[in-house]
Amino acid sequence: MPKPSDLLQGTLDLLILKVLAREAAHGWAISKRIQLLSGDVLSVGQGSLYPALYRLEQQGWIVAEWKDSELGRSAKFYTLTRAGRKQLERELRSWERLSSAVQLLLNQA
Amino acid sequence: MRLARIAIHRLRSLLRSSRAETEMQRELTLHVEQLAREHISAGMSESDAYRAARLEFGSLEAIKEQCRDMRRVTLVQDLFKDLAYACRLFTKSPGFSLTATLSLALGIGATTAIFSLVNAVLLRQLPVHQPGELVEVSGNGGRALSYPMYEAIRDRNEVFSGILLTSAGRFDASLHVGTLNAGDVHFSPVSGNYFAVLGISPVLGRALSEEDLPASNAAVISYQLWQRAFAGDQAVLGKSIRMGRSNYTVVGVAPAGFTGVLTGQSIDVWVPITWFEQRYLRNNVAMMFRTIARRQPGIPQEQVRANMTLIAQQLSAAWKFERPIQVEIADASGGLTLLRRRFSRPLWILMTVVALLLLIATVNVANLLLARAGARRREMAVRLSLGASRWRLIRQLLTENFVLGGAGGALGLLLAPLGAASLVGFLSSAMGAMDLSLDLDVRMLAFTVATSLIVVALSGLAPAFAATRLDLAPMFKGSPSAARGHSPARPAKLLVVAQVAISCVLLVGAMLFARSLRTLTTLDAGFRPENVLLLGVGLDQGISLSDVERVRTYERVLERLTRVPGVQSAALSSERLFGGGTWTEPVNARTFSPMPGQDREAVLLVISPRFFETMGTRILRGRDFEARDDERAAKVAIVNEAAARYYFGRTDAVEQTFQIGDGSSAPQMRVVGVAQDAKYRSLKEPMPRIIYLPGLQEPGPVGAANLAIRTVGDPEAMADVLWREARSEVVALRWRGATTQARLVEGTVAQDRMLAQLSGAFGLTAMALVCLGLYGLTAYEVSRRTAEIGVRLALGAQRADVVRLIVGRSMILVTSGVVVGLGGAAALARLVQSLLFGVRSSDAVTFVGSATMLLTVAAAAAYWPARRAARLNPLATLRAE
Repeated sequence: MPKPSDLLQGTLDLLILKVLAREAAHGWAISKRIQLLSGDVLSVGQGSLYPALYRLEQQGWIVAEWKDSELGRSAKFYTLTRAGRKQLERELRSWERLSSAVQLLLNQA
Repeated sequence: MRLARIAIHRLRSLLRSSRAETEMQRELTLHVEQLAREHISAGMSESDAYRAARLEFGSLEAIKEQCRDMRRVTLVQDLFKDLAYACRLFTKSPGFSLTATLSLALGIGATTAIFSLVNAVLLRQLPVHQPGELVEVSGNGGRALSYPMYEAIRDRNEVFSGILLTSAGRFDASLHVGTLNAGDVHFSPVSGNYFAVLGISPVLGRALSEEDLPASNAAVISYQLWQRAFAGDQAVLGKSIRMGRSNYTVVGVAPAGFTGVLTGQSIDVWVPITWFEQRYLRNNVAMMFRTIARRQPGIPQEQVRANMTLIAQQLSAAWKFERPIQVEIADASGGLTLLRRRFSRPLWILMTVVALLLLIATVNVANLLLARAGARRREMAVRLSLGASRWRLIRQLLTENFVLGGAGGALGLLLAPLGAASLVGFLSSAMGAMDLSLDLDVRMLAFTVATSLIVVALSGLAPAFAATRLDLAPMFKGSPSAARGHSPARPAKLLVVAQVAISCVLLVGAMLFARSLRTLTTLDAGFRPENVLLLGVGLDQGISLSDVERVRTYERVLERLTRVPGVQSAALSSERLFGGGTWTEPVNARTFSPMPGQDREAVLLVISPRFFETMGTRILRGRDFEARDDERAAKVAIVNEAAARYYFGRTDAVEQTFQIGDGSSAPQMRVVGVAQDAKYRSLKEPMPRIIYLPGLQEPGPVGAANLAIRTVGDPEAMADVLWREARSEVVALRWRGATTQARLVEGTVAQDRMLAQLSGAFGLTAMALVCLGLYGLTAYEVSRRTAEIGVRLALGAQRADVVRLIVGRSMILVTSGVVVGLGGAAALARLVQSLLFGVRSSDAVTFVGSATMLLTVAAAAAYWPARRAARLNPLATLRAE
């Protein structure tokens, strides 16, 4: 089985925000969901998820609180804020621009 | 909302890092365990599962560190990064950093020094109750008042809640506690309500009160003296102290920080006003006291003025004054206005001058930064293209500027006290010993910090914006000239023009003051002040002598002093020349019929024989006073040229007669000599009319005598010897201070000297800064145009042409600056006309001189880089392209 490809620099934020847009989740769940939703193509380098979460929290796009989890003990749940939602929209737009540009380039080359 | 949340979050991460740490630990281990559990359920052994999980997760510590990095407050963190970067950068180009820091330090230091003086003299308020209510009531032009005038104002006014009286200056005496000499102290006789009007309660004992008059021996001492001479001992109350030959009992100690109402002249001991002899207190025209009144709340200044004018008119009428007394009301919240009156204008001028200097320094730094901005375009371009935001870069450039400004400001604060101390030296030579508190107070610190910040913002913002406003594309096309920047930005050129203009204004000012001072100091005062010791003496109050006997006693002292080796001659006078005291009277002469409103007054000075010889004033016709001009002889007088011309016209004044004062009953005086004209109060006044009277015929004004002694050597070195000699002749002699005639004269030009020297120093500094800036700009221009110059040289241009080209370009800027500057100077110089002597504010020599000087020096500053350009090897430069 081929190794899941490394995440493109800068898209991790987008993925996290997207996952959290659906519902609040803890770190483990976020990494599982990214793997799952991408059909196991994308896998978050397990450790690198956390600095990203901390950065997003620092920017005020997500907030965290400790709650009981389905894992049988309390875990740190992250929730998208209103500002985070706007940021998600912005990042989505710029992602679309980028990917269509890359697509265009690939088609013409 | 988002901002608030971020703020709380960041605060928490700053403050409660230990809790954040444990939470982080828990969160990360949870993930690792979860990972391991997955492996176990897939069939791995527990230990293998954990090892695999850890491997997959990555180094726990490294990730924690990354997380911590994310949590750290980025702004603060960036700041530290920028600071570190800035420091590294500055140590890499020490020449630039040193120049910039030093110019800022100089500018900020000078500004702070002058401001500390402005603060101490003009802004600081007395530490008393409601200082804003205090006003000084004084005579015309801030003159002192007499005691009877004070009494009249005190009893008749309808606008004050109280009015106090104090001696116009302070007196010096050596203090004895028992038999112990506790050193010299300054004391001031004051009215009984002094402390009550000021609203000051003593920290110990009681204040002086009305009951202490008349003739009590109660004294209040200052907190400082209490600590210094009595070590803060409570038992000081009731102690007997001796000042000079007067005995006092200490009844109270003034609060700490209160040193009297004379700015710059702190008082150690306050004694009742009856220290003055009754004849001074009863004399309507003995203008030797100052008053401070407390306005009743809600009474406007106009009403105070009206009420005072009314009282003055009543007094003038009652006392039959020829010219009615004029009164002035001035704010006294900072103490007596004497110092402020004399120095507020020069101080504000100096403040403007240093502010301009600081502006030049700021512009200089801005220019240096602009030039660097050109050199750093590459760096900025790289950083911008790597994704740094422009704001982020501006922030970094400003941080660099803060480092500069901070270093400059700190250094300036260190320099300021030195500057301020020498300024106080200037003031002291004008006003007598000064003790101004120049300590760093909140206002001063705030001033320096604010100044530094403004300087940082002014010098940094434009270059920062210029440096980051980049067109990225050509940068990477590899053109070195693009990377080095286009023409030296237009702002840089404009700044040079502005600098030159400002320094031109400063130079013109400095030159005006210097020429004014030169006129003053080369002026013939009509006497030779060098080598004349002035000894103030009085006689003990217990001794009862008639006026004439008193003068004879002083003359005995003079005779004794004349015999001391090293003394050329000695004489006495009722007032010291340039000492501030004046006695004027109207004069009647047969040959003199004044127009209505024409002045009849002359200055009267009572002297002993040999006064003219001692002072170095020539007697042009007739003779000096002699021993035979005594109380039994017919009354005689000597007049100076101005008086002779004024009262006797073209006829020879000798043998003419005149009367002093009004009414025909006054005795006729016969002129026996005409003396050379001499200045009396200051070098700046027009020659006054002076009438000299012999001491034995007019002994009244010689209560205390001013002995003038011309010595062969340094007069001050002989003061002690001469005083001992005088005391051994007359034991009852009282010391009233010693100084020299030269000092008194110098005192009247100290303000001019201060202005001339300081504005000169600042003007030259400004010019140096401008040259530095010009040099930098020209050098930069040369480096930018190396290729072009190479081409020119290769095509056969002469080296002189290259020099001319480059110097010419700089001189266009300088010339426009000079033109603007001269215009500005012409407008501003009018404001200082009142401070100039013998020089018009539109003085052509000054304007042409300043312009020439500036142009010459600027040309030299531009020449060096130009010469370097002319020496370029054309081949080498072209190959480098």
